[in-house]
Formats: sequence, structure tokens, C-alpha cells
Amino acid sequence: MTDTADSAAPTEDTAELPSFPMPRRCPFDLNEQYAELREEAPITPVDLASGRDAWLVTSHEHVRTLFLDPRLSADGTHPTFPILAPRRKSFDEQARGFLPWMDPPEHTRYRRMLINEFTVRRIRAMRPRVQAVVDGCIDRMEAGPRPVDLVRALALPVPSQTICDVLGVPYEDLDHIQDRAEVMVSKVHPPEERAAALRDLRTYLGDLLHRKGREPGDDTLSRLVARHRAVGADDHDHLTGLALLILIGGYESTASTIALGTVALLAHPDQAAELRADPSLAPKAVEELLRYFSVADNVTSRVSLEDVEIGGVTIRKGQGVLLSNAAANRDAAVFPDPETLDIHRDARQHMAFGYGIHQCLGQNLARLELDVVFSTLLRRLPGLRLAVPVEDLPFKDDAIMYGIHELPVTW
Amino acid sequence: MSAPAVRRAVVDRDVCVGAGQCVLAAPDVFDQSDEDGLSYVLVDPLPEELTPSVRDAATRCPARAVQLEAGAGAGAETGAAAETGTGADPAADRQPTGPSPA
Repeated sequence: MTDTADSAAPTEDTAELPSFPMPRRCPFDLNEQYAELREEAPITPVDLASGRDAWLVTSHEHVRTLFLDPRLSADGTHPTFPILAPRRKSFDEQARGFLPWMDPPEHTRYRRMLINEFTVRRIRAMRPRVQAVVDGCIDRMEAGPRPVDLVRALALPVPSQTICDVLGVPYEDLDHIQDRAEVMVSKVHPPEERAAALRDLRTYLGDLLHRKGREPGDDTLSRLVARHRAVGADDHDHLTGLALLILIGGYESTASTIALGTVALLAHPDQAAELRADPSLAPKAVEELLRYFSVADNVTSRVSLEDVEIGGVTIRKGQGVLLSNAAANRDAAVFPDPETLDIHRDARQHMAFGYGIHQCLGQNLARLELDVVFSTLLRRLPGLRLAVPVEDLPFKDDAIMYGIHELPVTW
Repeated sequence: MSAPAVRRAVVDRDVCVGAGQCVLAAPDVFDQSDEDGLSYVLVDPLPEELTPSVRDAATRCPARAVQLEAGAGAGAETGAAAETGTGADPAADRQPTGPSPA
């Protein structure tokens, strides 16, 4: 093992560094330290719970510039990568085929196997199918008892059914996949059960890929297998990793934004009413909700492969960098009055999907799902309201992915 | 020099990562290939009225693959530098050319 601890420390004295992650101040707002740091030291050293430290970047300008800098590596297995918490031993193995952690040229090669599955045109063509999934969920909500947990009734099933559709998971396996995926992201299950759920999904997808190789269908996995063969690559583990990424990458993040976005719209009834009256506002509202919550804030980290000078500091080779997209998305220099939810603002410069070569591959699918969910929910259940006070909602303050564990609603 | 130059929208397909931002920003100018998902330009030269949408596309492109080329011999604008002032020198921190296809 190489001990690179010295080169990984932004400063010599780490005793008084702010610690990261910084818990959100309230369900809707980030920790107040972000704004202070952005003002005084937009690139600043912080302590991580893993024992490592890193530079935290909080201004839109610097986050964006660094996302584009090829001297920063996304390799999460790098010995000084700024991991947030101590890591399980099996981790590197699970990371095989994990696109977000690849650098070019490997990243380019694997991402290009997936790009044409997620083009704007292909995603647009999925709208009727997503609409049917959302309507099915709301039909079941209407037929069932109230209050109902919107996370389990709508926020989780919409992305999981949509993604299974994309992947070509047979209908009869849907319950199994949904069950495993739900365990994987739920706090009520102990870590070992959640890890087992992830393993089960990996095993399932590995088997499914073999089947798709033998009996191809009109779906992403079948085409992925074919494309993989065509370029002479025959790494089953890597393919399984890509399939797993599609499944989990589009699952919890979308579910979280559906649940949080619903809470935000219910907390801003005037804006919800406008959106209900004019569904053509939905694309703008979706961008604003993506900006406002930035649920995947803690996943955009890098490690520097060279000395990088920026904003008056030098990020040394080997040092970790946390590109806070949530902090960037609350930068008043780009988003005036950033703490205010405003579905009419032009929020398109948000980086909730990241920026640079790793920007979310499934972003247009996420946009479609959010658009259909919010438009349909407001239209079909106009009397929707929280069944408990917002203060009592169990927000995922301690999770890598921000969200809500349970969202009791009625109407 | 300041006469309305013929402008061209350009996509560097070696750099494109297929995020589709240009198609969303300027659907009349860009599309993604069914074959490989990479973006390409639909209209060349660029009609004057579509210029703002191409600037928007250049700003939003996460790989800075989209450029607005202004006439022969003039420099190219990249979104980050031209529109937001956030990039430093567009030439300095531009991605190196993407890995050549195998």
C-alpha cells in the first residue's frame, strides 16, 4: 500500500477544518456554512468522516471550471480519492464497470456503448409508457386506503418500472427487482441486508445479460450485449456493472426528487396551482426542482492527477476535490435569490446532473419522469396534502443521496 | 470585420458525450444520431436567428463540444467563456482531443 497521506492533505494543520458533509439546515436549505464559504473561501479544505481531507468547492464558477478540467480524475479507487466514509473491503470489486469512476479513454469507450440508448428522441418516444406507469400508480393510490406513503406508492415505482422497461427486465421479475432495489436504498434494513440486495441485483442482471445474449429483444441490455461483442470486448463483469449503473443510477435519485419535489410543491401552493393550470410550465418547474434539491450532491468528487492552480489556491497532485453541485446551485451570482423556489426562473445552468464528461447519462429520462409525475399528480389529485406536518417527515439527512424515507399524503 | 459574418455551428464528435443538451437548447440546429447517439449539425451555414440558441447550446454542453464559428479566420466562441465568463481562457482549459476511436 502506498502511503500518500501527506500529499493528500490540503493543509498541514487539519485540526480546525470544517467537517464534511455538512447537514442541511432544514429540509429545503443547505447548511448555512456553504454561503459563508462561497463568499470567503470558495475553494476550502475540509475534514471528511473517512479520516481523509479534501478541497470543498462551493461557487458555481469554480465547480463548473473544475468539472471540465481533465487533470481531475473520477477514479474512486484511487488511494487518495476523497471518500466520505470508511469503505467496505468488497468495494473495489463492486466498482467494476462503474462508469462514473472511469477516466478517459476507458470512460469514453464504455459511455459510448450507452449513449444512443438515451438520446433526446428515444426518451421522448417513451412518454406514453411513462404516462401509463404514473397513471397506474395513481389508480392504485385512489383505490387504496388513505393516508398513503407516496414514496412507496409513486416515487419508487415510477423510476423502477421505467428503468426495467428500458433494460428489458421481464414483467414477471419486476416485483423481485423492486423489492431488492427498495431494500438497497432503505434505512430500515441493516447494512449487510442492503449489501446483499445489491449483490442479488448484480447476480440477477448478470444472468439476464446471458439470456439477452441468447435471445435478444428490443431493449437496452440486448443492444448492449450486441455492441459489446461487436467491439470484441467480452468482459461480463463490466457489462453487468453498466447494467447495474443504469438500474440504480436512475432509481434513487429520481425517486428522491419526486418525493422532495412533491413536498416543495405542496409547500408552495400558489406555484402548484399555476403548474396545475398550465402544464406547459412543467419543464421549467422540473429544472428548478432539480436545482433546488440537488439530491446527488455528495457523489461528484475528484482526485487531482497534477497540481492545479485555481482561485488563488493550488490543488496539489493527489489531493481530493469535492465539487458541490448543491452549493453551486445556490450561488446567487448565477441564481438570484437562490433560496427561493421559483418555477419561473431560468434554472438551466444548474449542475444537479453534474457537468463535464460524466454528466448524467439518464438526465433526459429523469426529466421526462419528473415532468409526467408532477403534471399528472397535480391534475389527478388536486386536493393532495401532507398527512403529517412537514417537520415530522423523515428526511435522509445522513444519506449520500438526499431524500425522504416516508411521505404520508392524503387528499 | 464586423459585417454579419456567415456563422457555423460545429460539434466536435471526438469530445461529445451524448448528453443531448444541444438538442434541448437548439432543436432546429442539432440532432443526435440514431447510430451512435452523438450530436451533429442540421443546418449549415447557420441562419442568423438561430445564433442565440447555439450560444445557449454551447453554454450547456457539458463537454464543450459545441462551438459557434464566426466567419472564416475569426475565432470560435465556446459557451462557458462567451456566455458566463466562468471559463478561463477557452483554449487553455479546453479538453484535449478525445481519445481516438479504437
